[in-house]
Amino acid sequence: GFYTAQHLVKVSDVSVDIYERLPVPFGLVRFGVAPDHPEVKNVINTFTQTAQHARCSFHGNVRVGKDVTVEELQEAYHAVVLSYGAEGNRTMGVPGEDLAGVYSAKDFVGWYNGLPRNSELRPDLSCETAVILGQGNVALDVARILLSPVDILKKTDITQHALDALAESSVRRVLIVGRRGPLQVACTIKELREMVNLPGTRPEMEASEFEGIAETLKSLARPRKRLTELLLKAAIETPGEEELERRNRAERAWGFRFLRKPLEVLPSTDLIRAAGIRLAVNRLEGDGEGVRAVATGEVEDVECGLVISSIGYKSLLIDPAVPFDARKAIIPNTMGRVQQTAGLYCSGWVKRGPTGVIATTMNDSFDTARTLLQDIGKGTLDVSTVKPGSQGVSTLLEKRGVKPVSFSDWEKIDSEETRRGEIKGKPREKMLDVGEMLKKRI
Amino acid sequence: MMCVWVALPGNFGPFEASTKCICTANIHHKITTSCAKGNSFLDLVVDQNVYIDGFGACEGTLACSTCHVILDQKGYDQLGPIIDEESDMLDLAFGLTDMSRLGCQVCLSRDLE
Repeated sequence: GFYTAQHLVKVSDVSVDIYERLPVPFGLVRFGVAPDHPEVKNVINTFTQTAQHARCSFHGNVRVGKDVTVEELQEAYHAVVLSYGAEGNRTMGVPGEDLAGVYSAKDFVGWYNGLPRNSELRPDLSCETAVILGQGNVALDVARILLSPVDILKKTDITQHALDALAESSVRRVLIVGRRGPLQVACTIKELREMVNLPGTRPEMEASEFEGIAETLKSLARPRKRLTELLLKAAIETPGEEELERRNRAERAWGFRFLRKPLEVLPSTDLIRAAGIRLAVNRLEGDGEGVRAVATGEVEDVECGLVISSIGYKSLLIDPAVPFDARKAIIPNTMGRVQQTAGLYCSGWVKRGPTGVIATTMNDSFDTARTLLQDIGKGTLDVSTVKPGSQGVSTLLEKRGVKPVSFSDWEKIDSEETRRGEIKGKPREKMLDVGEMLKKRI
Repeated sequence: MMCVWVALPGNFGPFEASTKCICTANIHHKITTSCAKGNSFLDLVVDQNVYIDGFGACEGTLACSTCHVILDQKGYDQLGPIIDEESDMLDLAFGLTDMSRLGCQVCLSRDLE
């Protein structure tokens, strides 16, 4: 949203109003990026500049689809861009998914990042083994947060309750499980390298799962090649003396497991919590991009008390007036123009699906902004009539008892969070309660 | 004079391109200024207020690939060695080439031609 606004405001004389459900801005940069990746959050600086631009204003605490409809927004503005991301998650769809100790990565990440709706998650970390389904960057973030030394985490903006829980955690072993093989891992090399270098941990993987992989290296494109080389090094290479010693001293372990798909979460004897996970063993068919996982019929049980499914976020329908492709879970669009609806655009994950790093989503947002500006230029987006803009919307909101939060209000929340964090040597201590955030308003 | 091509997808500069093909675009200004020794190309872009949409998103901390630049052989060879952390982020860059570096790691100094 902020990147789309940035482009519009810098490259044209369009005015942009940003509506956000929570009182606080920045979406995934605040709630998704891991606490120990503060450099990624530097983008907040450019977002802040955009929000402070004369032709841009931020309106938090406004739920589009509830407090104001998309149709009402379209009446008030010449164009509406939907950038509301993916707040749902794909489910495993297996028995036992509702047992205690089973969480979506979305909720677990929301918990340690202070998303208000996940503040009461209270995950049980009293078991020794955690199994994560999925092998993307989110899965690695979760593994890393579970196994990082608390001394490192306590200097980040991780929420206090997560820090306290992790300090008491018994989790010593994390398995990161995927349906396919080593050449299909979706994570990127930076995150893998962080696991390999994580203090106090050692990699533990089965050499047999890497048979034939080294031979493929020479045919791989550079990014996949470097990633696979690092994976092989961690998984099967004999370590040097220093590294061997480091591994022997390590009290925590992590490893990828391949060709495994969840069939069932197995309950404890009292049937309340997860005690294990039953996995189907796969083999791969086909090659290159067409590689598919096929069940062999074999099954494997792994004992564990914590199961985190990290198999994808998912966009949800925001308003019945907005076209939505339920199968792909995106808004049907052509280059950001929502199909069959003039004046409606989309950008980011709700447009293309929930994958990609900041650069991918950033460029996608610029693309939507360009499309919108092109439409103004061509006349297909009519800007000749005068529209009420935020004035029109404020009248509706006032009638409905909704009080938006301005960017200056956010700056007060920001100062307070920073102040609370300073006391503890953290960049900030996030407020977890929407009510508390709203009290900070001018 | 080091010749640096800013490599980003989408429309930038005088070139039209779809996001599917590699787009290398020349920056609007030809910067022929001297800069403090040790400053990076990203520092230069920021100091000179050259607006390149989305360039240097992580502000030079090796957490993104948006300052991706492509150099000619001569320029590339003059640069210091590349560390793993830079290569890791370059792996994600759009239109990666053998002469690619991250602009935040390209250190400009008076010695460079």
